[in-house]
This record gives sequence, structure tokens and C-alpha cells, in this order.
Amino acid sequence: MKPEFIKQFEAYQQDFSRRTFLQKSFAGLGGIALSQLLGASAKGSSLPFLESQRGLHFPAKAKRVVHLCMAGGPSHLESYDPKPQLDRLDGQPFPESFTAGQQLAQLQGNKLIARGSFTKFQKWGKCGTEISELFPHIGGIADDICVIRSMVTEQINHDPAHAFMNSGSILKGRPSMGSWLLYGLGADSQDLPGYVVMVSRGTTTDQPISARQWSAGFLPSKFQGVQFQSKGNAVHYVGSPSGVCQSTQRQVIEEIQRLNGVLSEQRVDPEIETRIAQYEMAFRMQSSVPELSDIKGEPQHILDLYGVKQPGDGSFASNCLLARRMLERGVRFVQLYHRGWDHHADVAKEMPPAALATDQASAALVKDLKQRGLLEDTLVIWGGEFGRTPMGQGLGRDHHIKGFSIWMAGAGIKPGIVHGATDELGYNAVKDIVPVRDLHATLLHQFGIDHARFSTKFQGLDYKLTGVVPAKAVKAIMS
Amino acid sequence: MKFFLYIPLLAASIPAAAVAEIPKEVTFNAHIRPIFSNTCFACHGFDSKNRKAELRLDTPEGAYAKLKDSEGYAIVAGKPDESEIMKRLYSTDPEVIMPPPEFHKKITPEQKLLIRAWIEQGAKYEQHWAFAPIVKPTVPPLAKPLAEATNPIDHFILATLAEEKREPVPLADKATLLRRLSLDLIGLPPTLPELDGFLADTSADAYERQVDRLLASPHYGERMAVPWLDVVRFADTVGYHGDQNLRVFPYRDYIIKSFNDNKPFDQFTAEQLAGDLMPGATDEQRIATGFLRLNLVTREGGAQAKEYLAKSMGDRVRSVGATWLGLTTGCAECHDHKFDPITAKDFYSLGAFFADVRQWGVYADYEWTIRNLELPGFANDSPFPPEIYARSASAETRLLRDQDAGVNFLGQLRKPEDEPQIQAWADASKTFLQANPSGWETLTPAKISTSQGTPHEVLADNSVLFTGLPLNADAITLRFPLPITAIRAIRFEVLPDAKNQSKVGRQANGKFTVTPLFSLGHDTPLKIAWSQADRSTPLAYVSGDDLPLLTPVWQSAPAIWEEPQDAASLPHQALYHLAETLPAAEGRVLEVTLATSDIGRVRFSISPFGDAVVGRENAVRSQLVSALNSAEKSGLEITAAFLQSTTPDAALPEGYRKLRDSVIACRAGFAHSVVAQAVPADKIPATHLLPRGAWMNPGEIVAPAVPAYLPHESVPKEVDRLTRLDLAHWLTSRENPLVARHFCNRLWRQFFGKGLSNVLDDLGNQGEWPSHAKLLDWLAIEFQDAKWDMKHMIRLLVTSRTYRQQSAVIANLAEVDPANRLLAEQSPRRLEAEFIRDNALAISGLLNDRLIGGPSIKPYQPENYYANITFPDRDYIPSPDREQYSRGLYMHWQRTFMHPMLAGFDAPSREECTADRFQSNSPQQALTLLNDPSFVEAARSFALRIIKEQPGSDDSAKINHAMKLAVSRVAKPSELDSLSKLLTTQRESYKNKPDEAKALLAIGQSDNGANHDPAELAAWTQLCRVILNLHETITRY
Repeated sequence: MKPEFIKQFEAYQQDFSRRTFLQKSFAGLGGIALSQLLGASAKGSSLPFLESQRGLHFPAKAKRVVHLCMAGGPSHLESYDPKPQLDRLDGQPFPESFTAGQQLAQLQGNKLIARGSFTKFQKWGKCGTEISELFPHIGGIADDICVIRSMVTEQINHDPAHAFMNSGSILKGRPSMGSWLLYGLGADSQDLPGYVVMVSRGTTTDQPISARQWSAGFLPSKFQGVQFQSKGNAVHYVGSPSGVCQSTQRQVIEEIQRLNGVLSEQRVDPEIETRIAQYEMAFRMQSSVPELSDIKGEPQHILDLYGVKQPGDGSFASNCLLARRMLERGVRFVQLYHRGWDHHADVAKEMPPAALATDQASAALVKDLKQRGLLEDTLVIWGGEFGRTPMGQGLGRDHHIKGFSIWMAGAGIKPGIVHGATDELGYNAVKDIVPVRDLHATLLHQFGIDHARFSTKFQGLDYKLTGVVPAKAVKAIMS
Repeated sequence: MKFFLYIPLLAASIPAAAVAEIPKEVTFNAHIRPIFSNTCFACHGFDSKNRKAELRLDTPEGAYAKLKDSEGYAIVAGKPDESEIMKRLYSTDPEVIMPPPEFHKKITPEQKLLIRAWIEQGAKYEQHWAFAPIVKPTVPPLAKPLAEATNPIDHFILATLAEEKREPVPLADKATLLRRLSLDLIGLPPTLPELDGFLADTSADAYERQVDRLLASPHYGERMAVPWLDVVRFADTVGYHGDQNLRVFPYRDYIIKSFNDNKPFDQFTAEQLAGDLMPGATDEQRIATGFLRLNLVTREGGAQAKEYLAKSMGDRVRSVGATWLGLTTGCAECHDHKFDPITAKDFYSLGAFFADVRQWGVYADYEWTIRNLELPGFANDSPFPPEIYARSASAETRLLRDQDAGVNFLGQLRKPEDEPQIQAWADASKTFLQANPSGWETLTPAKISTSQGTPHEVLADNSVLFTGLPLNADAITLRFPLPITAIRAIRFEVLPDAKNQSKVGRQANGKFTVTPLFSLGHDTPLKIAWSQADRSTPLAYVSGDDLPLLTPVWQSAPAIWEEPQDAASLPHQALYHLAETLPAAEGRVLEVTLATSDIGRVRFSISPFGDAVVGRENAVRSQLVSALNSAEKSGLEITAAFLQSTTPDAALPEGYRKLRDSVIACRAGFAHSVVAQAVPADKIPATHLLPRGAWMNPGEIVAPAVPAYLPHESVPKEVDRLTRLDLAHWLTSRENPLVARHFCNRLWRQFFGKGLSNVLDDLGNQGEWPSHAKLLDWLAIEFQDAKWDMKHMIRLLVTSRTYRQQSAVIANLAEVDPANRLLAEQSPRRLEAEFIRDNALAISGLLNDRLIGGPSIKPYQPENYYANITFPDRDYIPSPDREQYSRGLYMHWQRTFMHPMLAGFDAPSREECTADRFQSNSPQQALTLLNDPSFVEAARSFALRIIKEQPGSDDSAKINHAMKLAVSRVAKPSELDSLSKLLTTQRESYKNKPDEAKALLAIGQSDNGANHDPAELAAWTQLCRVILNLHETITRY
């Protein structure tokens, strides 16, 4: 009979995979050499993670995602979550049973008064989902979207809440979800960045947005989001210097390539080859990015669909149209921030302009993706970093994390449904609660990734987007 | 016993490497711990709350004990077949197999064999290497003699290579070596004289002398500062929300100076953690505590102070872990560490060391939310106290430089028709200085009146002392007969006096507020061009900084929470520069009216000179005094001083006024910097353990303590409360096993590309067993023995043979040692972001390297890049003149929007401490080097430099000169040929497109070569762009 270790040895031969063995130990040098040769190390490797996993964990529904990030925190009580009971309580003390011992933001220590919705809701489409009259266009696509009324988050101030929504962590230097997707799946485009961010402004004093929201954190910087500017060069330094036309720029790049080629003959340095490839990519970006950003060729009816007044004016509508062009060209993750949703002072006055600036274009993007056949594998997410209190803050509403609404569409998400619910006053999510980590797990799931098996080494941990608290993909909203 | 695994799959391509070998001796630290830590310890390790089946495998006691649920034993030493864990590892039953499938971790067959062998060999546990005491290892002998290897480092490296039967490569050529050394030690390439000098130097110690030269260079500190600034997360902004500016550049100056002075690392450590607690703490030691203020803070409305205080504490504990211990202490904020024996209690006990640091959870006082009466009125534009107001060597140097520049500027403007006046002025000035060597003449008060009857007396030094309780709305009038001299400036001193509790003012806190008015006689007000005080409390701030000029109202120091806190006991002075010089005349009287309630002792002086700096004893530069005393009166000094002192302020030339403004901006050589300020012992807030990190549910109170599992004999026991100073002393005590290892490991990475243990931020269980554990320990002991002498360690590293060998030459390295951990050759390294900038600036001749230290600078940046930053809105004005070409480490570091060049080249945002940087290779890097105006401008300047330095030589000579500047070698024939052709095409192209040539040359604010043929210069600029973009140019080989 064979000894146990020989059996194991044979099993090992059969089971040989690209996995690192002895990855920490330096004693078996041959092992190190072999594993690294095969590109098993995820961190720093040029190979996307899933290649090392031998493919996706599930069949993918999504190939790309567009996240319409309503920065500042839109009120769920005036958008997707009607609360007649709250309306009835308007102006009266807010029941203490809801709020005792809980963290509030600016309302901390203040007397809490219920504030009813200033707007009316109506049922939309065949599904009859109730959406407020501030969002008639989104109401018009009610049959295409899944409204989640039971989101909760853990961070009550803008900056950490955005970080939490993007990276699942409040610590800095953690990768955002777009970076995770690039790390996992790689980019789909040869001449555009895989993760693009655009920002539009509201009409009120906007909350700041940090570039860390699209940072690759501890993942290599090539996975970071690239912000497209609304003015000047869309991508930093994508334009040749003044006085250098495309052909002279080409000559300069060719000469760089030639001399780098000479160097690579004399040095054993794989970075030189990569450098040569990146200059080629850079040159391609120099033409592909301006081509992408040039939306003058879009027909008038498309501009009208989105409500674009002046193409490239930096408005949310213009950004939505650009987003569609990016998605068509294989950009993996597009994130559009609209910075107009922090309505502390007077929600009835401040919220309608924010809704007006985003409603039509958000709906248009879904419709346009649908008519081009792209919606089936493009995931659309609409929502803020948190919601707003059912208690008034003067005429406004404060930040609220215990229950708020978002919606999703496309890429295998059930259309025309409502998932989850808050209590009768819109304070706590009470039914089918969706924490941020579950949203992340769902996102990854639609891309064919099991969040629990999607990790990278960081500070000794197998670090995951969904963190250490158990997370689950929300199966109920998947078709 | 020895097993060999043959892997037929790849045998053909890499026969030697395909043999995976189970080593003869399997040890816990080298082989087993990494496997256990990664796959077992989460449930069977240190964290007792999450331990499964009461089994722990991290200690022999736990592993050898009888299992709870069966009669078996997890590990029976020497008997793998009786050890339960072997059965579990090999099981196919999902209920039995370990690790369980839902854990998503696997143990490979290879690893199982290792575990088996280890048990067979006796299952001997070892303390984790990094926690074990450092014992000085024996230096291994050389397998065969090698004259070049004189350094113990080489002995360790060569011994391992010999075991692997590999040979090291030969030494690099001298030019490569000098470029490597220079880039590594000062972050700049060698100049041509340096290169030629070294190539010509055939002496035996030629290389060592280059090492000494570079270690002595003031740029050494700049280079060494960069990784330190990463690990302490230094930035110019606070990071959260509005990401407002922090006044902190003196801390960076301190770091640079400490490296340059070769401050021992133990002192360097203690000053940063506890400089303020040192007996007789100096300003420099207080500035060092800026380290404790680099945590992210907020002033977002609605932020909860307690939550952010908890965040700050966690931030500081992580920073000590990252900077000194090499541990990921952050894990223990919410739970006992999964992999290392650090408990949540250890975490909060470490945090308790910092509870005495005066701080606020929210640095604002908004009327519409919770008030913060300790920071009254604080809003978006306010600074972040406590700050120190202290002399700054770099501000002083800058001030003197700009003063010199002003003299040089004005000195050129001598007009022949002014000669008689200049001579007369010089004679009068000389006479004045003979009577008043300081350049100031103190005025004698003739008449004093006060509207409120404040008691006063005239003292022997001509000062007037006001005493008594504050009297509201007093109007004091002082009349001074003026001497017969021209007057350009008035000095107003406020002095502490014993009769006012040795304070400058008469308020209870010793402060004063005053608005002075000056007039000639009773009714001719004097027009003041500008005024500045050496000490004051600003009335307003813009983006976290106050304006350098005095408003009419002068409020004495200190500002709220400002150091020195006893500033009210220090003399104050303000200078008032007149808009026009008062010519000498007889019988004049100066009337000074002071609107004040509380001023103390005052004194007034006048000066005829126009260049006086506030806070200085003398109104004139010593150079002027010498010039006036010499026979020659036609020099720059006298011309400049004449013009400064006689030209009406508004008529001074614009070029000079710019320089003077920059003198004013140097604030008399003072600067603010955030510091740690300890609250009184009885006011130190209690530190609570926060279960699961939840700040709303504080748990037990903990006292400051170092982690219990690490040796801590040296920590004082008979004290009420341990201080930050105790923490610092423990870190650099002989018994601390981590600090010296961590420092040497990071240093090794800097010079060899990878750490000896290459998880730079984690020496704990999840870190890496070092490639050369004994070498790391040898270095750590050497560092301690050498009294923490950093330059000594660096000299050891760079004089080793291992450092000096060739790089990127071993053809099969990717197969035998892909990460080059055994160092049979040097590792090439792409320069870090800051040095890519420095390198381009140095090559092009643009680099402003004359000043070390100083405020952050702003390179060109894409327009509207800060559009998403609000509270307050941010302007970005690129730095003018030479400041624009300062080194990368001085770049303004906006945490939420890093300069795209920094971000593109992998500089960390410094929101968290970073012990290592990625090295990516991306299209954004190519776009930056190709198109960022800083690099395009550098190319033009580089072209101008070549043309200027090689007049009359042919293209080949110029190209060779350029290549030598960039990569320390001349062009190869193929390169020369190719570059010459490019030059020809570009010349032709730009000859036909003169407007494009001009457009290219117009980029950037430096000399655009207007007197050159645009087509020719544009063609050379294109060629220089190529050279600045080369992989070799941005790589240190």
C-alpha cells in the first residue's frame, strides 16, 4: 500500500493549479519561482484576479455598470418611499421610541419634530410602483427598475458615507468598487480607461467630493477611476502640448519606443516591454478620448431624450449621454456624481431643482441603453450615500442612515418591483434590509463573482470588498 | 529525509526550478507558521472570542493538549499519523475536512507535506521571528574568497547564493554606479562635473568618497524625507470633508533637517512622539510633535465629536504600528487581532498614550449645530490649533534670499543723474548710523495724555509704562520731538513689565489690543504703506492662514491655543513703513494716538532706512553698513538702499515690489506649525475600550500601556500614568524586538527594491518570513549598537558589494528568482513620483535646489481640478518664479485631490500611513511625461541648456551631452542615428509651421528662448521630450 504522502503527491500532480504554494515561506525557492512564473500572486500581478481563479464563479449577467451617485443624500421621503403616516404626524413631536439612543448628525441634541413629505406620490406603469411627482421620467420607467426601500448604511457624515458606499470601509486607502471590478475582471476597452468618473454640480452649495471615492486604495494605481473633466481635456494630459500636432506627437512617441526597444535589448527588465505597451495605449487614448467626448454627432432626438441643452456643458444630462458612449465602448464602470442633494435648509425649495437636473437624464439613460440592447448586461444603480430624516431640521431634513431608497435596473435585476420597506414613519428599514455590503455582494454576483471568494492580500488579510461581516447577494431582486 | 516533487507539466521549460523541494529541516517559523497563520489561526489562534472547539494551534500548549470533543490530540510530536490535524487535512468529508470549505481557504498538498514533515521532526514551535529577541547572528564565512566583499552584508547574501549554487554578477560600471548612488541618496542624478570627476578618480576609495559626499549633501535629507513622510502620512490638508489646509511645513523641514543632521533614530522617535514633554522642550522638539497631528480631522457640520475623536485615536495607534512597530494594529480596534497576539485592550491602551493631546472631534463652531466654545467662531477658513509660532530656518533663509534679490534688482537701477543725491544720502546715513548703530533712533516722549486717566510713567529707556486695570476706550496721545533726519519707518515696541505681571498688556491674560495713528504735529496724518508685527493674534484667516500684513488693529499674541503660550510675556513689535520718506527738517513733532484699553509699556523709534524687517535688532543689513564704511560708494548695496529709502513706495519698480512682498510673506522668519500640546494631567480624558469599535457604547477604562505580549521590562512601573515619552523610550529600548527590524527592513527596500521581509507594513504572523532573516537581525543589532546612527546604516548598505553589482542582466532571473530576492544582481527601480519630477527638473537645469525646506509649492495643475472641493472653495495658483521648480517633496499634498502627476506615479494619498509604494506602469504615466506642462517646459529648458552649454558643436555632440545629463552616458550609435533623424524631421516640420513652434515654446513661465530660432529650438525641445520620456531616464539601474 502506498504511504499517505505518496497518495497526496499524486493527488497534487493532478490537482496542480496556478495557486501559490509556499507563498510566505522562502525556504523552498523552487516553489516561489514556479508560482510567480505562473502569475499566481494577485497583488501586483498583471493578471486579473479571476484568471487566477480559472474563471467566473457564476454565469455573469452584467458586463458593465453605471452608478448614478446622488451625492449629498436625497430624501427617500420625497422620492421613492411614500409615508402617509408621517404626513399625518407633520409638525408634531417625533415619537421618541424611534430615536432614543441613536446617532444623529446636525439634529443631535435638538427637539425632534416630524416633517411630512412636501410632495405627492403616484403609482406608475403596470407595476404600480409609487414614485413621487418630482421624478416623472423615472416614474415613466417604473416597469424597468427595481426600487429598494430598505437600504441602511453605517456612516452619517458625507465623506465617510461615500467612502463606505464605495469601498465598504470607512478607513482610507481601501479600493472602491470600480477598482475592485477592474482588479477582478480587467478592462474591456483597449483604448479607454476601465473606470471613469464624472461629476456635475447642483444649484445649491454642494458638498465636496474627494478623489478617494474612486481611488484604487491599496490596489495598483492602474485600477483607479479616471475622472473625466467637464472642461478642457477630458482626461488629464490627454491632449498633446500646444504646437505639437498629432503627427509630430506620433514621431516623438515612435522615437521613445525605438530607444526603449534598444534598451530592452541590453537589459533584462520586463518593465521596458510594459512601458512600450503603455506608450502605445497612451497614444491611442489621445485620439479615442476626444472621439468619445465629442457628442456633437449625436442626433437631436437623442439630445432631447436626455434633455441635453449644450453637449459637453458638464451637466448631469450631458454626463449621462457621455456615460452611454463609454459603456458602448467597453468602459467597465462609469460613476456619475451629482452634487446637489444635501438639503438641510429647505428641502421643498432645494429638492425640486436637484430632481429636475437628474430625473429626465437618469430615465433617458435606461431607455437609451434598453433600445440599444445594452440594458440586459449593463447594471444601472441610482442612489445617494444615505437618506434624510423623517424629522424636520427647520425646513430641511438631516442625514439619515437607518433606512433609505435606491433603485437598480438592467443586468438580471427584476424590473418593476419594490424590495424591502421602512417602518410607517420612514425611519428604520424593517423588511428585507439591505446593508451596503449586501449591495456590493449583489453587484459582484451580477458580474459572476462570489464576493466571499473575491479577495486580495492586504496587511495580512484576505481583504474583501464586502469586509468581514457576513454579506449576501440579494437574490430576491434577481430575475 | 528529503522529498522531491517533479512537476512534469513544466519540466521542459524550466527543469531546475520545477523541482519543488521539501527541505531537510522543516521549521515552524520558516515553513509552518505562514500556513497556519493564513489558514488556521482565524479560528484556532489568539482571538479567544472566535476560537473554535477550544483548540489553538498558535502555541505548543494548545496544540499538544487533548482535544475537547474527542480522545485525540491535534498534534502528537513525532507522530503525524496519530495527529488529528493530519486526518482533518486529508479528509474528503466536508464535515470533517480542515479548513472547512466555507472558509474559502485551502491548504495545498505541498503544504500538507510540509506540515507532516514538521510533525514528524518533532513539531517544535518557535516564537514568531519578529517578536523574538534580536540576537546578533554570526557572520557566515565566504564559501570562496571575494576581494570585493568586505562587508558583512555581502557575507550573508553570498552565503545564501552559494547554497543555491548561484553566482553574483560583476560590479556595475562606474557611471551606472554613480547615477544609482546619487539617485538613491539625494534623489538627483549626478551633474556632469561630478560624473567626470568620479570617472577620472582612480583612487582606491573613490566610491566611498562619493558616498560621503552624497551623505553630506543637504539634498540627502530631502530624499530620505519622502519615505518617512509616507509612513507618517504627511500632507498639507486635513483629509475629511472640506479637506482644508493645515499649517505644517515646519514639520517637513524638521524631518529633512533631522536626516541631514543624522539625528539618532531614538531621539528622532522621541521628539516626534513626545517632543513637547521633554524637559525644556525646544521649538524644534515641539514642531516634531506635528507627527501627532497628521491624523485626518473634520469640521463637517453634523459630525459628532466623540465619533471623530475615536477615529483620531485609531488613526494614531495605526500610525505607531505602521511607523515604528511594523504591525497592523488597526485590526484590534474592533476585536482581538486574528493573527498576532495583540488584543483590543492593547489597542486602546496604546491609544490612551495620546489622550493627553489637546484636540477636538470637530474643528468648528457652527451656530446651527452643536457649539464648540473652545474654538469660538471657528469655521471653514480657520486654522487647526494648537499650533506653534516659531522661528523657521527655511523662512529665514528665504527672507534673506529675497532681500538679497531685492538689493540686486534695485542695485542695477543706478542713474548717473542721481550721483549727487546718492553721495549725500550715503553721507547722511553714515552719520545717522554712527549715532544710532542699529539704524533706529528711539524717540523721547515730551507729552503724554490719556483720555481715561490711565496711570503712566516714563522710564529711563524712553519707554512709557501704562499700568492699572484695563480702562475701556482709552485714547492715549504721545508727542515726540523728532530728530533732524529723514524718516522712512516707525517702530512701535510693546514690552513686558514687572508692574504689569511681566506681560505686554493689562488684560487678565496679559494681552492688549491697540490701533495706532501717526501724524506729524497734530493734524498731518502720516500715510502708512504697509505694516507688519512680529507677534499678533490675527483678526481673520483665509484658507487656514492669516495675512502677513497687520490690519490697523493690532492684537497681541498668543492666538487661541497657540504656542508659546506665554507669548504675552515676550516683547512685541510692529513696523510701520511710510508711503513717502519724510525729509530731514527741524522742529517737527510726531504725534502718536493709541486707541486701546489695555496696553502696557510702549516705546517708539524711527529710522531713515526703507528695508527694515520687523523683529530684528537692526534696521539695516550688515552689508550696507560695510558698504557705507568703505571708500567705494558705488556698489549695489548703496544704490539699492538709497532707492528703498528715498523712492515713494508706490513708485518702487514692480519687479522689486514682488520680491519685497515675498520678504513680507516670510513673516520675519517665523512660521506656524501644528503641534501636540498636552492638556493638564487632571484634564486628560479617560480612554475607554470600545467594543467592536462602537464609539457610542464605551466599555472599560484603560490606562496607557504598551502591548502586553511584547517585552516591556524597561517600561517604568512605579508611575501614575505612562506618558508618550515612556512609549518612545520603550520603542527604542534594547528589548523592543520590532522597531530596529522594521526600520532596517524599510531601509533595505529603499536600496534593494524589496524588503528583506517583503510585507513592509506587517512583521507579524501574516507577514513574510524574511529572505535573509539573519541578515535582518544583524542589521537591527548593528543599528542599535551604532546608537541608532542612520547614516552609518546607509553607508553599510551602499558600500556593500551587493549594492554595487550590476542590475537587470541575468537572463533567466524570471525563472530562478523572479523577485530577485537572493540578490545575485541589483534590482532596477522606476523612480518614485517626486523623484521623476526632480530628475526632469535637474536634467533640464530648471531645478530650484538652492533652498532646503520651506512652504509647499504648487506646480502647474489642470484647470478646475479642485472644483469638487468646497468649504471653502479652493483656488489653485501655480507657484511663481523659481518656486515653481522646487522639488517634488515640496508639492502641495491635497489629500482628497492629489496632483494628477503624483497620483499617476503611485504616490500615496497619505490618508493612511504607507510603509511601501506600488510601482505601476500605466498609460497615465506616459501621458503625464508626454503632455504635462511641467515636463514639456522641462524639455524646452533642457533644449536651451544643451544649446547654451554646447555652443558651436554639432548635433552629435549636443545629443551626447543631453544623454549624459539624463542617463550619465553618451548615446549608442543606433540611438545617435535615430535621434539625429528625429531632429531633422522636427526641424523641417517646424520650419514650415513657425506658429506651432512658438506655441510649443510658450509653455511654462521660465525663459522661453525668445532669442533663438523657434524652429530650431522647437526641434530640440521635441528631442528633449523624447529623452525625458525614456524608460532609462526614469529608472535607476
